[in-house]
Amino acid sequence: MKVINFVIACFFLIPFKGSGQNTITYGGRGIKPYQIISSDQAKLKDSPDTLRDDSVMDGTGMDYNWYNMGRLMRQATLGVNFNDMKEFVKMTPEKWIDEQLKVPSPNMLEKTSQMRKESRDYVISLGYDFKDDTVLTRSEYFNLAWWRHNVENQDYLKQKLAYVLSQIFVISSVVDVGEFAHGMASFYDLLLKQTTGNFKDLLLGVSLHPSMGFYLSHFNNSKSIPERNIHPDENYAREIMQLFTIGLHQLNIDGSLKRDSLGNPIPTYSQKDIKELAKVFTGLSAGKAGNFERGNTRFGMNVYGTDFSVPMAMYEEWHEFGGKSFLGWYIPSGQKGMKDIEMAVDILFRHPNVGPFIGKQLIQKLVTSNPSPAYIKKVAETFNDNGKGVRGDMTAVFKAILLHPEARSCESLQSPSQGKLQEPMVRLMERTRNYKLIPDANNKIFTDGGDSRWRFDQNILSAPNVFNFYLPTYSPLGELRNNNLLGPEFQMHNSTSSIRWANSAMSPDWLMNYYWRMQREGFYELELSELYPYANDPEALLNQFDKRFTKGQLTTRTRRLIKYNMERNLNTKNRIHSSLGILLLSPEYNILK
Amino acid sequence: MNRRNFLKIGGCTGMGYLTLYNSAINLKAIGAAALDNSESTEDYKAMVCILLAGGNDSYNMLVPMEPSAYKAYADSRSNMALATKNLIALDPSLTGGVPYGLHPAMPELEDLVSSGECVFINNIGTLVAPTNKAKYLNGSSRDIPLGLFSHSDQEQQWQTGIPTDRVRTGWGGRVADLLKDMNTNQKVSISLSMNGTNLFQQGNETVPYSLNTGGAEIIWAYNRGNEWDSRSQAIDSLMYYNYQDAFKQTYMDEIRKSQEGGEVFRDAYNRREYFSTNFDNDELSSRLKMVANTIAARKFLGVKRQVFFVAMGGFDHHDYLLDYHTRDLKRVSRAISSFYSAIKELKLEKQVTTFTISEFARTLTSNGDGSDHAWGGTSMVIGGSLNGNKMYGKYPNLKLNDDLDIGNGVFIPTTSTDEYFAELALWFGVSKNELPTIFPGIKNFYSLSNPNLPLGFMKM
Repeated sequence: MKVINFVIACFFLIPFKGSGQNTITYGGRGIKPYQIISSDQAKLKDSPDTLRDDSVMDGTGMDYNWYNMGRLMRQATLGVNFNDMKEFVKMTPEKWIDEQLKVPSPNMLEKTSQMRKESRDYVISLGYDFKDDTVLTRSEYFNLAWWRHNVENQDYLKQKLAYVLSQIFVISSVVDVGEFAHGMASFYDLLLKQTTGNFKDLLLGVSLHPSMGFYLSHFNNSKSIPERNIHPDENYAREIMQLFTIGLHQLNIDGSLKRDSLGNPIPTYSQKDIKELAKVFTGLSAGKAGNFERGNTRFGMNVYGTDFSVPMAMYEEWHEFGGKSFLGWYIPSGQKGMKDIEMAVDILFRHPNVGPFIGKQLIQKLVTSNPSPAYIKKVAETFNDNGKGVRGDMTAVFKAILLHPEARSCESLQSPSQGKLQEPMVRLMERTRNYKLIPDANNKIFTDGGDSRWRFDQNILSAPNVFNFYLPTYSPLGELRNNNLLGPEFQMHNSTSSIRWANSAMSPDWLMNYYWRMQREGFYELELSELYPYANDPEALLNQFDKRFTKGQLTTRTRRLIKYNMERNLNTKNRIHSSLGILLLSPEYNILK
Repeated sequence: MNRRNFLKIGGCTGMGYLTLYNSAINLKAIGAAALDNSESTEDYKAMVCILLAGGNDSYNMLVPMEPSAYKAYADSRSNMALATKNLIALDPSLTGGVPYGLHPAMPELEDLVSSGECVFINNIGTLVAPTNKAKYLNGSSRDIPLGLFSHSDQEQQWQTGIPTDRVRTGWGGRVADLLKDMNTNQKVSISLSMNGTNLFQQGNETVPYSLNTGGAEIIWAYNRGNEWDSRSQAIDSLMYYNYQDAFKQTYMDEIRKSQEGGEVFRDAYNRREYFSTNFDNDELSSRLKMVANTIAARKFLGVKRQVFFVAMGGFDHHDYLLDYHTRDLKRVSRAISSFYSAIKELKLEKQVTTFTISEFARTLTSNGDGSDHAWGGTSMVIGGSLNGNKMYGKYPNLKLNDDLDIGNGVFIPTTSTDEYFAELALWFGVSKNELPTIFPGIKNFYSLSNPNLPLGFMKM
C-alpha cells in the first residue's frame, strides 16, 4: 500500500507557520490558520487505517477560499455558474448567504403561465402541430419553467432551500397534482417565499395549499356524517405529524430517541390523536374558482374547477363541530374552522420535536447524512430560539446549518461519518451550470427535465410518494450499513440509475433532453471548447476541474488516473471529454464531504 | 436443450472483447447451468408481479351476468355500467356455475380463463383482520389498514403485505432474502425489476436489479485497443479499488456490482433460448417481453428462483373511465396473453406464476365520468400450476348499501392480501413456519396447522 506522506485536512497556498516535525499550520490572507498533520504513518481520525492516496486531497492550484466557498456551493446551491463563482470566492460564507437571501426569486406561477404560452408559440413556429389535448395545465409547464430558471438563475441559495423543502413537504406530479402545473408552481412559490420566513407560516401555508389538499386528500374533507357513514379523512392529520413536524417518536434536542423506563422509544402520537386532528382538517375546499368553473365556490367543488394558486377556504357547515383534543392540548368548541386549524398548526409548531426532527433532515439534505448530536442540537436550539426569542426563524436555521463547523471546518472532512451522496439531479444541474449550455437555433432552452426523470427517476416535485425519493433513515447495504451509517440518497443509486450516471458522465457535453413537444429527439449540449487549450497541460486541466466540480477535494489518486488518461494518445476533444468523464464518475465528485 | 449442445454454445459464441473478465464469471454460470441441466426436471420457479397502479376498476373487468346481480351492478354504476351485450360471457362452469362476463377488451384473457390458466380472486384487499361493516364503523381504527383509499399507503401495503404499518421492505424482498441462496450466481439479484427501485422487492439483504426493455444497463464506454483504452482503464481503476471512505466505497460498489451484473446478464441474455411469440409495443408488453427473455436466459444466469416486478400506471380513472379503461385492459389482456404464450414455448408454464396487484378497486357509484378510490376488488393469477376453472374469493353483491358496502359501493374485502400472497410464497418455496416472518398478520386469516392452502388456487 502506498502511503502518502501527509494528511491534508485543508490546504492553502502558503505555509503560515511550522510547528514541529509532524504538524504544519497553514493559513494566510486573514484566514484562521488550520493544521495539517504531516506524517507518513498518519491515521485517519477514529479509524485504524493509515491514510491512503484515495483520501488525500491534493490542493494544487487551489486556495482556501476556492475550497471553502466551493464546498458551500455544493451544499447550498444546485450548481453555480463559473463566472459567478469567481465573484463568490471574494466573500465569506456568511456574507454570501446574506447577499443571496436578498436576491429576489421569480414568481414561478407567472413563469409557468409564460412557459405554456411560449412553448406553444415555439412549437407552432417550428412548424409542428401543438395539440393541447386537455383543458388542464399539466406538470410539464411547471417543469419547463423550473428547468429554464434554474439553468439561468441568480437566486442560487433560495432555489436550493426550496428544493430541499420540497423533499420534506412533498407533493408530486406522479399522482393527483400532475395535472395542475399552476398548483405546483404556486406551491413552489410558497416554499421559495418561506425559505426566509417562519416555519409556522410555512406549515400553515402548506396545510392550506390546494395542491397539498388534493395530494393528501383534505381538500373537500367532510365533517363526520354518521348517518351516511362518513368520517373525516385521516390522511393529512397523520402526515403533518409523521412527516412535516414531529415524527413518530419523542426526541431529545440532539435528535436522539427519548426512552421510557423499559428503554423503549416513546410514540409522539396515538391513533386517537390522528382521529382528533383529522376533525380539525375538515371543511376545506376551493378558495377561488378557476377558469373552467362558473359561479361561486362551494364545498365539494371538483378540483378541476379550482384555482390552485389560492389557498383553500373554510366552509363552516362542513367543518366538524365540537372541541378536539390531541397531543394533550384542547381546541375548544364553538370557534371558526380556520381558527381550529391555526391552533392545531401552532400546537404542532411548538412541539419540542420539531427542531431536532426537521433540523436533522435539513442538515442531511444540505450537508451530511450523519450529523453529530451536537450539530443537531445546535440547529434545533436555533430553531427554538434564533437568539432574539423567535421560534422557527428559517433564515437562522439555515445559517446555523451552513455555518456550523461540521459544514465548514477542515477537521470535519476527516470524520468517517462525514458526507453524503449528491443527488443525481443536482449533479446534472451542477454540470450544466459550469459551462455554457448551447441553446437551439432560436436561442431557447426548452427542457422539462424528462431526461433526469428517465435516467434517475428524479424530477422536481415528482417523488414517487409522500415519503420522497428516499427516506431520511435509509442505510444502503455495504460499508455504510456495516458501519451503522445512514446514506439516504443511496436509495436512488441503483443498478439502473448508477450505470446511467456513468454513461451520462462519459458523454459530458450531452445534457438536458429537448422538450418532447418539439417532436425531435436529442439533447442540449454543453460547450466544453474553452477547455481545449488545456489538452496538453494535464495539471492545469485538473486544477480547472477541481475548482469547478470537486471544489478542492480531488484526490491524489484520481488526479493520477486522469493525468494518465491525458497522456495517452487521444485527440484534443476526446482527451478533454474522457478526462471530464472520469472526473464526473469519480467518488470525490459524487460524494460531498 | 441437452447438456452437450449447451456447453458447445457456452464455449464459443457471444464472447466479445470483454473476454478476459467476463469469461471468468461465465464459467461459474455455465458450471451452475450445466449442473442444473443434468437433473431430470429443472428446479426453477419465477413469480411475476404486475402492479396495475392507480387502482384498477375491477368491477368493470369482471361483471356479474346473472340477471338480478347484473341489475344491481347496472343500478349502482349508472352511466359507468357496461352493457351485457358487449361483455364477453364466460362459460358459467368456469365461474362456479354463476355467469360472469369479461370486459370486452379482454378476449385473450377469456382463452386463458377457459383453459384454467387464469383465475380470479374476488373482493380481495388489505385487511388487518377479518372485519365487517359494524366493526369497520364502530371499531378501533387500529383494526383497519393505515391510510385506506390513499394511493401511497395502499399501493405500499399491497407491496409490503403489512397493512398496519409503514415498513421499508416488501414481501417480495423478504421472500427473496430467504431464497436467494438457491441461486448459484449472485451477480444478478434474485429480484429483477422492470420499473426501477420499488418497495415490493426491497429486502433486508436483497435489492432489485433493474432492467429496461432493452435489457441491462451497462457502461458503454469500454473501448479496448483503440484511443479510448486509457479511459476504460481509468473506469476499471475507479471501480476496482477499495476506498477508505464508506460513502465513496458504497457509491462505487453499486456501480461496480451493477456493471458486473450487467455484463453477466448481457452474456446470458445473448445465449438465451428463443421464442417466436410476438408482443405488442406498449410499455407493459415490452416489459413482459423482457421478463420472458430473462427467464429464457435463466440457465445461463445460473438461477433457480426469480422474482419479477412490472408496473403499469394510469389506472386512476377518476375521469374518462370507459374509454381509458378499455384502452388499458386491452393492453393488459394482450400483454399477459403474449407473455404466457412465450412462457409456454419455454415449457415453463408450471414454473412461472404471474399475478396482479392494484392498490384498490374503485367506487361502484359514478362521479359523473369515472370512479373514485375504493377497497376490495378482483385480482388475477395466470399460470400452469393453478386449480383453474373456478373462482376464488366471494364476489360481492353489488347492490349499494349492501352488507359489505361502506358507502358509494366501497366494499369491505372478504379475502385478505395476506392469504393471497402467502399462498404464492408457499408455492414459490417459502416454508409454512416462515410465513409469519414475512406476513405478520397471516395468523388472523390462516392457521399454520391447516393442511390446506390459504385459498387453494395454486397447485403445489
